[in-house]
Amino acid sequence: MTNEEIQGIFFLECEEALALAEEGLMACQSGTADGETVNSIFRAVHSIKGGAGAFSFTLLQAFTHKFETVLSYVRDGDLALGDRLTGLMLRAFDVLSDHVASVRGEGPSPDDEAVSAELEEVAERAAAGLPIEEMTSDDVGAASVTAAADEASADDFGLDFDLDDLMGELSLDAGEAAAMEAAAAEVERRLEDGEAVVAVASAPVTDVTDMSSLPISASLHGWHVALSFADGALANGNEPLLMLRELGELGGSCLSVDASALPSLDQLTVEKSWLSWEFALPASVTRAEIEDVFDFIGDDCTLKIEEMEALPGSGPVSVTLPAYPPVAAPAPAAVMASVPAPAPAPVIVQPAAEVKSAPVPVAPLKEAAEQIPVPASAPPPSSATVPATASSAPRPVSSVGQTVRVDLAKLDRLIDTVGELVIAQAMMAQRLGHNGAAVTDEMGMLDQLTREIQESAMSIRAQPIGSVFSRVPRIVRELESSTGKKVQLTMSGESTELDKTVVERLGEPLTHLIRNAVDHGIETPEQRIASGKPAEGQLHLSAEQRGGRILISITDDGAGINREVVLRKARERGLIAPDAQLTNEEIDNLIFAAGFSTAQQVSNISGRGVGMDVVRQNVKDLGGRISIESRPGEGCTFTLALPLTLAIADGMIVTVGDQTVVIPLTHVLESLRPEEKDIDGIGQDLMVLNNRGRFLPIVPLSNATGARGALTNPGEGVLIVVDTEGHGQAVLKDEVRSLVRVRRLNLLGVWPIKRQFDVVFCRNVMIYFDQPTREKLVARFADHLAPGGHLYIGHSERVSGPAQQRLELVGNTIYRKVEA
Amino acid sequence: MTMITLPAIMDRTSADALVSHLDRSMAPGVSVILEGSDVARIGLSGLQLMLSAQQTAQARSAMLEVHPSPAMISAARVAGLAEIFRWAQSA
Repeated sequence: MTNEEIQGIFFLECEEALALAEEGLMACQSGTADGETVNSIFRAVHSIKGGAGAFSFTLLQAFTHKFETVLSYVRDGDLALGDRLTGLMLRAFDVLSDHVASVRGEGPSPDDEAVSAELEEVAERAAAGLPIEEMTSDDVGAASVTAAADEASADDFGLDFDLDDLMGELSLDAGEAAAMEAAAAEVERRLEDGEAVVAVASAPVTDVTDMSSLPISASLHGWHVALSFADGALANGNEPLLMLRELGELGGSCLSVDASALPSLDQLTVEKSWLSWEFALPASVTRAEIEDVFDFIGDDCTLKIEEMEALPGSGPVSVTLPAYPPVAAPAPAAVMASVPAPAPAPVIVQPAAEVKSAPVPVAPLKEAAEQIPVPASAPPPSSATVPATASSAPRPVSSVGQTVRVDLAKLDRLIDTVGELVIAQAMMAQRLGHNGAAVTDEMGMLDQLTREIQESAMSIRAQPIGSVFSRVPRIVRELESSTGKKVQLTMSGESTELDKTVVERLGEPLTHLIRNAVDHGIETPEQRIASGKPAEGQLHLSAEQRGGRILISITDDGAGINREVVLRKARERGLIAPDAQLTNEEIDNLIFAAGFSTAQQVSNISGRGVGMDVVRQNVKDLGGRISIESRPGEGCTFTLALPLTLAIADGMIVTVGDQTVVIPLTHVLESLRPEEKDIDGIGQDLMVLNNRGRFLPIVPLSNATGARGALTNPGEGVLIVVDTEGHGQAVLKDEVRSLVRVRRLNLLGVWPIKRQFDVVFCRNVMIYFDQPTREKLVARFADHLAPGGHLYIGHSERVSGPAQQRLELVGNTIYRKVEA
Repeated sequence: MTMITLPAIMDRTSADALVSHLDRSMAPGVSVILEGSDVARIGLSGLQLMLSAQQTAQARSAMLEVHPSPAMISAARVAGLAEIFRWAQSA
């Protein structure tokens, strides 16, 4: 794995950690945080810090360190969570996000001076035992900007905490030194007694005991590795089993497992690693190779690697089991249920849970033994057992990694090919149909399989919309602080998946809509209280899949659209005729008109009238639609309906009078031939279809297409029920001809099409290109036409360039490829 | 008799969801069967849960019967616990 790949993994982990931290901070803000919440934020920031250090992102590392310090005070209860502290943590989070973006090369290095100073200030206060609430924001400004002026006051309490801090450090150092000495003395004593004993040094997080100073034999025959995992290791996403497996692959074998700390079910926390292990590894492996296995876990693993004189023979693993007192009887006397490993000698194992509370190694052995009652019938390991070498274990592929990274170009090539397959299959089915061949079971199966391949290929490009949603809380926070409004943001459906391109291009319109909802929709706290609403506005963001579309809605409980104002503005700007009578829906839709804004004052958030029309255009470009549902005084909902994918669309070919029309299948709910009783007339022209109790307006397709000779009586034609965001509509057409598939093709890009065409329609497209491009395109058409094939172009277009030698004019705007 | 089917992925989340269920099921004299044949992936959290369940059942005189999947057996071996689990021979 290259450095870039490893770094890529770190960035992914950063994303996850930021999302976790943000979730926790949201809980802090809403007052639902508990001890574990703060702990999870701490772990997230801590894991970013670890990676930042490994990749020498010093600015990121320095900032996370300050953030982490404050979080540790909160976690330990030295700082109480209040509005002020939560606000600081949120700001620190935003800066942290910017730092991460910066190291990813996605932005400049953020200016973290003010937030850093405040974090340091708060940490100092906490260290001095001063509550944060005593400090006003003025203090912070003064402290960070004019440090000199505050020197005197800082000195007042500075002495106290500095000394305490220093004393604390000194005593810790003394404790660690004592631990080291005790460990060394104990091991030396045992070595002198002739026992080849290896002590497991369990330092508080950092490595305390340097075993290289201990007397060991010059002849190295292998390594003894003792390891345990810190409480947060699993929660940080590490999987100890993967590391154990890697040790096995290096030729390691498990000597012993200490499970004595594992609680019974009623007290079990699965997030903790309760076990510790000892492994033997052959001398052919270097110390660095062993350390590499644990490279990424950092402080979450207590690892002790020592040289050993002889490798133990294969034998049963010594396991120290936990034993719980029988429910009815009192606990019997304490005995370790450990079976010694055959060679070189017994191994001292210490319960993993004791790591933090027992800085002195070896000693806890006795305590641990005393606490453990004998298990009623701990199974003795059988002597005829297979050694527990991990290398002998089968290695399922799935355990190595759950994801594969693929170059997007490769993926798109696959999707293009699948598109070709889909078309080839459809053509074959059509040709068979024309030749009168009955649709066989095999054809049906092929159709089914083709569809499945298409769906699978599409799903590879699918991404959860959560990546876009995750930016929203920050936008809302920034809006809150700039508008002075209070907003409670809720989200649902973050795991809804849609095409990668759609996800990437959704950010901008969504940001506009969120800004619009907070700036225009939600009222100020005063206005809200005056109209009997809670001071805090509600903003809900949701995503769901419905049929072949994804619906994203943004709902606020603000004032809704003020139709009077909208109508007046639209008339003032000449967007509508002065006497035009508009329905409520039409008025609401006026806000999408270019240059429309009702804002009294242009703010830097919104109000310049360059938002909503751009939003609608963006959504249209994605093949989607946007709709509004405004409830005056109660709020407003914007709904975006987006296609699942941009790559392939199914279509239904229908005949309307003298025209043939393709209707995208994603819009089609059903098609039916209605009975007379299902159709009712309303007023003079309007007819409705009673579709299982739902009345849907019937719109003759010829109205829209201008087709001549189309049917007008719904009873004679076929109705297609189309979906328009929940409001159904029945479209009348003459006949459903067949199903076709329509795909996008970039005329100037690489064409995935391998076959030759009998006919190419490219009307009024070339007029948008310059002359060299037109000539290039004509040449491509000529290349792709079968001999004798036809090219249809627009009335204002003509075939030009060298390729015109290969195309002869056979009619107005129609060319035929000259037979070779 | 209580029969519990273990999920395909025995990670922290699913192990966490199982703890209290298993705890409640383990009453003196009760027979509990853990059907593990669906388990495709199991982490340390899952293994710890299995071991704690085994020891808890013993302390409470409940009868626990585990039918492991190959993935469970492999994970137990990696963790050095293969000989400790009293699991049924085949999945």
